[in-house]
Amino acid sequence: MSEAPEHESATEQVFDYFLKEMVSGQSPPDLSSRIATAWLREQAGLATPTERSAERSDSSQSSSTRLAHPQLVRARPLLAQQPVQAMPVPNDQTTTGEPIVATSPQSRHGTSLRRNVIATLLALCACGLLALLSWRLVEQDLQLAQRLFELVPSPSQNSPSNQAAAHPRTESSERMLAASGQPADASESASPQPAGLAQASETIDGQAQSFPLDSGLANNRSIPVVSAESTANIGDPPRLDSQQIVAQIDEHLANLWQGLSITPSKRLNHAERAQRISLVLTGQPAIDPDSDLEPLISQATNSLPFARKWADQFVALWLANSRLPEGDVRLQALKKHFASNIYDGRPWSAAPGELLGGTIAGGSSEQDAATSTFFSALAGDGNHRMVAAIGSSFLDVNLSCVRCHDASSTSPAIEQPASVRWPAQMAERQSAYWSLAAMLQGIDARTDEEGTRVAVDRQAELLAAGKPLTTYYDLLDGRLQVAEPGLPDGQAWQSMSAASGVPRQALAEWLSQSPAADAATVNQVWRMVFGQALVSHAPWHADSSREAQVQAQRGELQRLLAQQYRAHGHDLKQLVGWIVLSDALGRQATQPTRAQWLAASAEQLQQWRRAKENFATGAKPISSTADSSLEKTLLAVLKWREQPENGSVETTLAQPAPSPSSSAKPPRPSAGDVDQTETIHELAERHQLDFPAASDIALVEHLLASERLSWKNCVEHVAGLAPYRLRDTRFQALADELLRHHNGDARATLLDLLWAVRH
Amino acid sequence: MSPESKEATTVSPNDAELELHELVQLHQVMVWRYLRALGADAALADDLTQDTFLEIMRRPLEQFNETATAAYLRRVAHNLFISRRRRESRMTVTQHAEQFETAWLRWAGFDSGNELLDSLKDCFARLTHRAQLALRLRFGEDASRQAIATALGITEHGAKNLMQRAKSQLRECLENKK
Repeated sequence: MSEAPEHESATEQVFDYFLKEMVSGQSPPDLSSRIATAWLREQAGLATPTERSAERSDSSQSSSTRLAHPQLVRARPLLAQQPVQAMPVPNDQTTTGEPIVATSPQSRHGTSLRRNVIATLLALCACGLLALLSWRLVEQDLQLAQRLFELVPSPSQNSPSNQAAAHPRTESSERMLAASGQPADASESASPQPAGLAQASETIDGQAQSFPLDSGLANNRSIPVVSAESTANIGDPPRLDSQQIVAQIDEHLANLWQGLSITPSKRLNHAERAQRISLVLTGQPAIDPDSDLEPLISQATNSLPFARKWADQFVALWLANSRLPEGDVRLQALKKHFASNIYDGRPWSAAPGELLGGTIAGGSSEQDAATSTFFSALAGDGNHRMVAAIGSSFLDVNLSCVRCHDASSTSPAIEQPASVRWPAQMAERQSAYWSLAAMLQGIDARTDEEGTRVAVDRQAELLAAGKPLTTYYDLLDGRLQVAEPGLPDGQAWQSMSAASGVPRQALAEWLSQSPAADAATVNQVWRMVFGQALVSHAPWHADSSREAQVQAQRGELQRLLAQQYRAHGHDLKQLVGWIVLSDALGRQATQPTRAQWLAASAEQLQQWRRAKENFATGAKPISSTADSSLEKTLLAVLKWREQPENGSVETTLAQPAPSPSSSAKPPRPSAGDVDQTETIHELAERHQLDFPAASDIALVEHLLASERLSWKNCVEHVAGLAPYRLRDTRFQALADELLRHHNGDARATLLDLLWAVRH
Repeated sequence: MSPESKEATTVSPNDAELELHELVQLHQVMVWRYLRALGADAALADDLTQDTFLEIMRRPLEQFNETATAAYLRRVAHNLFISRRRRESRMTVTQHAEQFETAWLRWAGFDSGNELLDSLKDCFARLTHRAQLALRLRFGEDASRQAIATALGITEHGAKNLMQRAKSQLRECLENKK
């Protein structure tokens, strides 16, 4: 996250080194013969790097007793065609005067013997394990076959079902597959696998990946593609009129509430509803709240305040992690440009193309200016801000995790219906992240003579010079992988018509056409209206089958809206209009009174929360700076911790407790408490419902178990799970403060942070 | 997949194996300098350069092109360096590799750094004698700031400013040469 200081420091470090080399005149030595010798010796089984250190210390103790190098008898040819040669071994020394290799033939012989014995034993063990595994697999196959035949009607019952036995994809087997959550036809089988299957294929990939370069390519080939199911469902839907769409939204919501036994709050009267809609659309009260809603919405969405407000919100979303100063004139110009697009009713799907596809430097059109500003704000430091922004802005996925590992490797496995998971599945693999990063290779940002941050685009230059746009990344086990530029769905970037340009432009074109971007826009508009996304891809939001079901229902609604948004020519005004006309915004924004809240049972509190989370209690438009609420929550957590009676209580906030009904119940506020105290106790009250989910605990344990992650990295991982980008330094500072309150207990602190991010 | 990688995947395994001698000749200077820039002393850089190439040779390397191989060698060298430091409990580096790679490419570009050194020599000659002396003392003789200040007859703070300005001028000069 806060990469700038590290990057600056690295830049300084490299520069200083070259300066030092130039001034001191110390040039690199020629190590050719030394390396060749070491390689030949290693091939002859004479020395390994680890042994070499020990040998060096031995030899330094008694250099006079150093033995001559043993005679080499065999070496691996450096080329397949090259004959094996015995090479004379020079007595090379390191710059410190120590010998590279000095061995005793007898001790080497002993080592080789031991190594051979150990290798034989290991091979035997491996054979045994393989045999055992094979037997288990055969057993499982037999059991599966038995179950299959039990479900398929027997030949005696129905003779045509002989074919069913021979071809399992018959009606009855389809029912069985449907029940088990598997796709029923061949086109659906291309859709991403459930978590368990994904894990298995990963293991297979892992075994096949003996060498990073090979394995990277293999990995690239296995980038999950957009499922046939998802594209089929998004593409070419019947175009409905606005009233039909709003009716369908209301129907979905009614089903959702009914399924959760939620009683929605009362409806607003006409004038109140008109006022709220006007505020959501333009930020201004309605001039004539008694007029009909549809004309009012039409008038509002065609107004300049609407265009300005929504352009501001989108730009704030895209550039949430911008490196440009707040008052930069380019930001204002960008907002003005998109406000103009909205006002003119241009298709909103063109936004990614405008932001990514123009000329970065030297262009004169408005699109070029937009592209230049976007890259100046986010490029640099490995372009990770840019990749994250593309993920969150245009694909509606959080790519923070997959930068370092496959998402399934740390996030607790959660079974979710495909309708909910499909957008996120594009970004579950680390290789997909790095392919996207490779698409931006050659783009950087620098500060010019006037102190202005500007983007630099060398993609075309690199491609012309035949330089590859590959990136390298580490797997969790330390192996290196290589990633080639590729589109998020796994296609080659050359497949786009912008292939004559550069990968960046191909990506822009792909995003402009992608159904995933449509679904992302729906989710973002919904969040801007109601304060929370329609479908959440955060791992904790579906840690129970009930939650998964809720997410699936919401996913259906998202898909409907995405289809209609596409069918209506990506008209942002219409999309916003349908959403604000829905029943969810026409409900009173009710909250339990203080007396109700204090007297409520845990079940009632949970019901209130559920109603709020499912848009049954009106809406509260959020500001563009979403992270301020998290900061407020974290500050409240800190204040809570500062209270002496709470500092050592195990059960506060997100800490694990022996049981929810333990005695450590936070004190209820008295009537005379000030507002701030009330907030703190409100947090504590909510804690009664928020014992850490198993998925949270698993995530924290996983983070802490990783030796590669520093405290800062752990905090970054938690911050990355927020549905929006956080201000790095402030979040880190608050996390550090919390850590101090926990007396250095990282586990407790991370759980608190997760709790804060959830709320 | 880019045309380059397509070409690379069609290379037969035998042809794809690199000759160690050629690989070392091409990249050893870059790897050694990279390790030195990371903070390795000369002896450690020697050892780790050797280990880097041995690590490569232990596996069948498909060479896509020199740039890709160079980047891969740097990553291997970086990982070996970190592993060595961790064994010595001297440093904890986490995601430093990417930043360092970016910084390396910024200055050294796609060659071993020879072009940069040539440019640096040229830019260095344009500095004032006092600035040159300060940098020579600092980077050539590892003199302390106090010693540099005494040698130049200025305050310690003045020496610091002088060196900062000189480095800034060098950077500007290098940027203009690109």
